[in-house]
Amino acid sequence: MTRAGIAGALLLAAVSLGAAVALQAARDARYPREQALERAVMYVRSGPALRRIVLSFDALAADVYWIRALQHYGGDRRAAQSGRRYELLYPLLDITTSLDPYFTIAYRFGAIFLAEPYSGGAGRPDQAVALLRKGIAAQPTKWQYFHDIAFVHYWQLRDMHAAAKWFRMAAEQPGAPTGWSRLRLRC
Amino acid sequence: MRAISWIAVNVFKESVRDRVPYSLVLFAVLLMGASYLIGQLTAGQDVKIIKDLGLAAIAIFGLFIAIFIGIGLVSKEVERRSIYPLLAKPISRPQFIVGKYAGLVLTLAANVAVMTLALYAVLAYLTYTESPEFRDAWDAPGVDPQMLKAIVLIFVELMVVTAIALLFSTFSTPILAAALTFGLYVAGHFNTDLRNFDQVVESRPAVLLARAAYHVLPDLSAFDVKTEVVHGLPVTFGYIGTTLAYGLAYITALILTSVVIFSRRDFK
Amino acid sequence: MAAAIRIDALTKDYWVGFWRKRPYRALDTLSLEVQPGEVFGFLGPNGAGKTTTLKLLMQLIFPTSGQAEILGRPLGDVGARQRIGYLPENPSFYDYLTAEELLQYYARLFGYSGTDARRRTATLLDRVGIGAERRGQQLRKYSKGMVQRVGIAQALLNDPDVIFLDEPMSGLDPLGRRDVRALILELRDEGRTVFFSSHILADAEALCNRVAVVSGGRLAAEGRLSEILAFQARGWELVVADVRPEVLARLAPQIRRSTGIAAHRYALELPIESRPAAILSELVAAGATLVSLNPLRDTLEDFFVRRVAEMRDEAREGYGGNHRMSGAGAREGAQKDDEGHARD
Ligand SMILES: Nc1ncnc2c1ncn2[C@@H]1O[C@H](COP(=O)(O)OP(=O)(O)OP(=O)(O)O)[C@@H](O)[C@H]1O
Ligand SMILES: [Mg+2]
Repeated sequence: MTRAGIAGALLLAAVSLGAAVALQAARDARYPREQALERAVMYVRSGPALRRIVLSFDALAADVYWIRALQHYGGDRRAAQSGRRYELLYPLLDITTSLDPYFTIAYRFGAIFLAEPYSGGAGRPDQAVALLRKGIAAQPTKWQYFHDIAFVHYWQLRDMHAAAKWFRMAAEQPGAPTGWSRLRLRC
Repeated sequence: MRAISWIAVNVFKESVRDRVPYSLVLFAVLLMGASYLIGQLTAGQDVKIIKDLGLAAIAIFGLFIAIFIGIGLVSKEVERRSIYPLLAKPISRPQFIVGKYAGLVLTLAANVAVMTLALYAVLAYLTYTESPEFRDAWDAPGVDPQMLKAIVLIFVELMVVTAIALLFSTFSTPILAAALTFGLYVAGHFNTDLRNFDQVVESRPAVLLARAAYHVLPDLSAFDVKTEVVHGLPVTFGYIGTTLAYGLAYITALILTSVVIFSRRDFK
Repeated sequence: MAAAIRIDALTKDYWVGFWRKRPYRALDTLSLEVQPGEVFGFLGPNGAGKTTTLKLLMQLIFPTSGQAEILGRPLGDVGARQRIGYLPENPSFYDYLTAEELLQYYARLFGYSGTDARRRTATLLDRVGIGAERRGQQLRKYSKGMVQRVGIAQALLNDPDVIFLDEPMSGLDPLGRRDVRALILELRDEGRTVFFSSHILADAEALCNRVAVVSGGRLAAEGRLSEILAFQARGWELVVADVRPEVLARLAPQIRRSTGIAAHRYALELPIESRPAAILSELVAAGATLVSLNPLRDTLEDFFVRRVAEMRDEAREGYGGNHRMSGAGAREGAQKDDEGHARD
């Protein structure tokens, strides 16, 4: 090919790519794909099933689902009041933690997102506790999870007895900070 | 034009002689075996599962054909030096590239067509052996022409993947080309996660970077409407049309880049 | 008439080395012209740059500098390829095709219709001696020589005006060589131009109007075979009969070598600067009979060996002069090495 031919081909390639980007943007504007994503999530609601599908890349897939959970939470939090539903938050977190049962951040932050009173969060302390209990099932001596459950009981559910019980259990786990015995006393 | 079509025919012939059609037999056996097994397990929902499985298998078998033949399209000719006598014939290098691409698209079209027929045949069988009460409970009819929407989009997605494989095969080794193509395929399917980056991240440069990647990487997840089709949800022709146009524009860019790279290459 | 092939200062650098790439000059300002209807031999030792030249002419690689024309059209002119045939060195085709399918595929690329393609294929496979029973076999089952024959057939598929053959005899048995020689002469008689590379000098001597010798990427010699070799006459061969030994002994200082062929019959080799007439008259006066007197010419092989050696010396001197790094010691070592080779 001549030099001019090459320049022409490159120019045409750039124009085509530009056209592709424009088409993509136009399509995204007219046919938003948020719903499509949500349907894809709903489609495989079962963590264990997904775990089989993604073969040996479950940790990586867990990261992807964690990012999706964050996007879902972040997206809904920013949305207008009516759009704040957080309905997929628990399924996404459940899938994330099934794919990677040791995903501490997903349990702890996920529980916070779930437990926050509605509109700032999902307002579902019950789901937060369920998620953390799942974490304890995977790692029975992780004091942070006991501690987080205690906080959910203390702040959101206002159940001091339960909170005290969970704090006590947290303090009993190996590696827990020792200053907590006093906290327990005050309850 | 004539030269391009003869090169394409030769690619098709090679794929047939390389026993690519065996994959179709495997596909049919898999589908029939699965429908039998699933029919034993679940009642009434087996048609949905067969559709899921069939569409996924068309996509995956097509992907394997696209990548494994695509990466060898050019590099094999160069490695075997069969390109020496070929390029001394009255064909230009751009014609060679386009002919090779057209040949693989032809191969894919034939394979996808056969797999589609097999899928519809199995579905027809399941539909007419099922009792009407169960049929009423389905989201979508058993033999549903809507599935063609998903299949057409899968086919265009495979055309994009083929163009990617062809591009890489013009300048790198087959193994590297396969790895790069597969990498882009995966990245292309997680593309939507990049677009929604601004919902998680505040940093402006990071968001811009993610946006740029979203536009430049092939947006393959857009071609995936399997779920919608299987659940009988609407997929508008507007969506299909813009997605097809997107695919063709992207393919044009890839092919032109391949042509430019290939045109300046020394064959040593 | 315009030259069939014109090569003008064609130069090719390959980039070699793994990390630090440096240019390696495989072809250095080669200029040549081949007239229509000529059979042109392109000769040179291994690694001389013959294949590089042919690949440049076929635009399989691009020149670093210089240009060339085939049939008056610049390289890369796709239309001109309609009238060109090319046999690559050690050709390789598609394993999965049969010889027939391969040639038909190429014929279609040349624009032949289906029937014409089949007809040309049959004619050419006959011409290169691939029997009807083997034509339907996939090329993966072909021997090297058979693939070479298929390669020659595909180079002639389009009735080309100019044919480039890169080592056409390689891989062929003696019969095959004879066939290809005959084929090239036929092509010449049909008025086609044949440009072939080889290091089999007997082939060149038997076939070529003109030859060029390249060595180390440079043109070492070019011309008609008769010209190149005539100037290189290196003595005389005098064959005489009825010679008495004492006469020979008297003339010995003037004779380089004498070989007894039969009783009283000798072949005498005289140096080029001697005067054969004077020696002959002395011999005849002593009762000898003349059988024959011929100039002793170099064979192409002698010429080739000497010229290539000269080129290598020149190249080495040029190299030593340019590079400070290689001191005198290194150069001596290289020369000793070379002498060692020469004695081998
Ligand atoms: N791809 C390449 N990369 C680097 N150097 C190369 C390459 N191809 C050829 N060369 C070098 O260029 C020189 C000329 O090679 P070429 O193949 O033209 O020789 P030739 O005359 O055809 O030899 P032969 O008679 O062995 O076929 C050689 O020194 C060779 O090592
Ligand atoms: Mg060679």
